Amino acid sequence: MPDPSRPNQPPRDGVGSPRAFHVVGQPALIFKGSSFPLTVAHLTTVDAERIERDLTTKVAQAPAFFQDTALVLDFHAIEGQPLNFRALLDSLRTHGVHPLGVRNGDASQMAEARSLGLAVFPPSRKEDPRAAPQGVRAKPKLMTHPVRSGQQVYAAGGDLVLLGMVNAGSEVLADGNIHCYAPLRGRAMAGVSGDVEARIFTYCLEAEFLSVAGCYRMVEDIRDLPADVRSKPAQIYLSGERVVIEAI
Amino acid sequence: MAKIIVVTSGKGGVGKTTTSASFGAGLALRGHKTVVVDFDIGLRNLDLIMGCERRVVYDFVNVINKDARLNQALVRDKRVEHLYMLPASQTRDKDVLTREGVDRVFHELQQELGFEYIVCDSPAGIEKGARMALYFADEAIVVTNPEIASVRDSDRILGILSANSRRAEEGMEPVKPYLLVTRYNPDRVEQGEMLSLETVKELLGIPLIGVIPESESVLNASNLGTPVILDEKSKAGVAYSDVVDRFLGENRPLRFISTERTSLLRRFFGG
Ligand SMILES: Nc1ncnc2c1ncn2[C@@H]1O[C@H](COP(=O)(O)OP(=O)(O)OP(=O)(O)O)[C@@H](O)[C@H]1O
Ligand SMILES: [Mg+2]
Repeated sequence: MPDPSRPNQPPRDGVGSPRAFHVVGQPALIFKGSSFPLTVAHLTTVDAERIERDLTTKVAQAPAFFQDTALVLDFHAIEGQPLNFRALLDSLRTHGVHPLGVRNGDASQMAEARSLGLAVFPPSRKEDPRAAPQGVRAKPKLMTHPVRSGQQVYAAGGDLVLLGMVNAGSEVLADGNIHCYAPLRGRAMAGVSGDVEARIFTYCLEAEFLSVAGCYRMVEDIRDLPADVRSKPAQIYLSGERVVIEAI
Repeated sequence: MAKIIVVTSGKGGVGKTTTSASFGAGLALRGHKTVVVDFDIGLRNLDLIMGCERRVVYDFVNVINKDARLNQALVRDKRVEHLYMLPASQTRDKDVLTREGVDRVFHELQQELGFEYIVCDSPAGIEKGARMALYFADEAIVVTNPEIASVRDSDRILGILSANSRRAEEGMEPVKPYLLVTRYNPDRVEQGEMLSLETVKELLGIPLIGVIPESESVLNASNLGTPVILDEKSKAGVAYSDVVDRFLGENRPLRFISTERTSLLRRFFGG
């Protein structure tokens, strides 16, 4: 039946309307599998004030990162504790962050999440919350020229292989490991997206700054490096929060 | 096709202008038509060191702005045949050099005036002026003093040469860099007050084209307005001559790189 309130409009769904012709046989919704990068926020307290305070600081540090970020809340550490769920969601939303769902909560927390319209994600495998991001790694990035003072090289999603020297005043970063087959004199940062298993390897260690997954060691003077690794082949890795420098 | 050579360093006061004047004069003395271009807009002193400041009428900026013809701005050297200079402007306006303008002037120097070598005396720093001076270069003489700050700045310039030169942007063969260590004082190296030649070479990792000793004759020569290479009695002058010969493919062993004492021992015992 034509809509009497819009006499000049073609019938909206009737067969024979020009629009309907195109969509005949086509479903209204097409489902396709896809994956999105999501940030997971691990709650370590139910104290609403502390959450609000920490959130404010974090957002102030990286406003662009948090703007319209979709978030999954991980309740593993606060399982069984009473939580003002609504206040938490309000606080996140006022900061421009969109909570999508919850995982690793207890039964009542998960039920409340459902009632608040959030998705309920399956529990994660028992893993270190900071462990390596899963999934396919990018091809290693290869640098055959020296990295010079003022230059920065970043291997996104994988390892960085350096054949030329890395000079003082330069910066090399990788989401994965850093392999340097020449003197390493600049700043080297492995696992910059949080991979605590990432390592730095070099033929000749003289770096100014070393970091793995955000834990770092500053080398103000290369004489501060122990003699067995100074200007020698070495590897750098994390043991807990400690940056270990070891001869190889 | 002329070769464009930039004399650059990042750090100030290391000897770029001294080198540009002597290197340019050395090429001309060997019969090559050479022009030394002063890119140090606002701080020009190449004309002083080359002793032709009184004959500057128009400058590089006038030519870029088409206020003067290139021929009117070029200053011919009175002592050395085949040697010319294109002075910088005294007006403190650094932004007047445009790539199109510089490209046009260089094109004219090569195509119409038949220059074989264009030597660009870069200003200090890593900002616009220094970037403009190195942009069109085919080869670069990286002037470095044996101290860590100078080495660090040279390294930055090498990074800029490999990423922001015309050759890099157009995917051509990279700019060929040469290391020139100046103000080298073997005694102070022995005392541990200066970096050794070996260390500088190792840190920068580019071919060495020469070592110019620290020498009073440099200051005397620039007070007289004569490129030091014309002073055949000066160690620095002789060292600059070696640099030009090496640049032109001759084989010249390094001189003045060890203390008097060690060179005497060498003479007696070999090695
Ligand atoms: N080999 C040398 N021995 C002694 N003094 C030198 C030597 N080379 C350069 N100098 C002196 O160092 C000073 C700076 O030299 P020069 O002007 O060539 O440096 P520059 O790199 O062009 O400086 P700027 O960055 O200001 O343009 C001058 O006083 C010069 O006489
Ligand atoms: Mg100068």
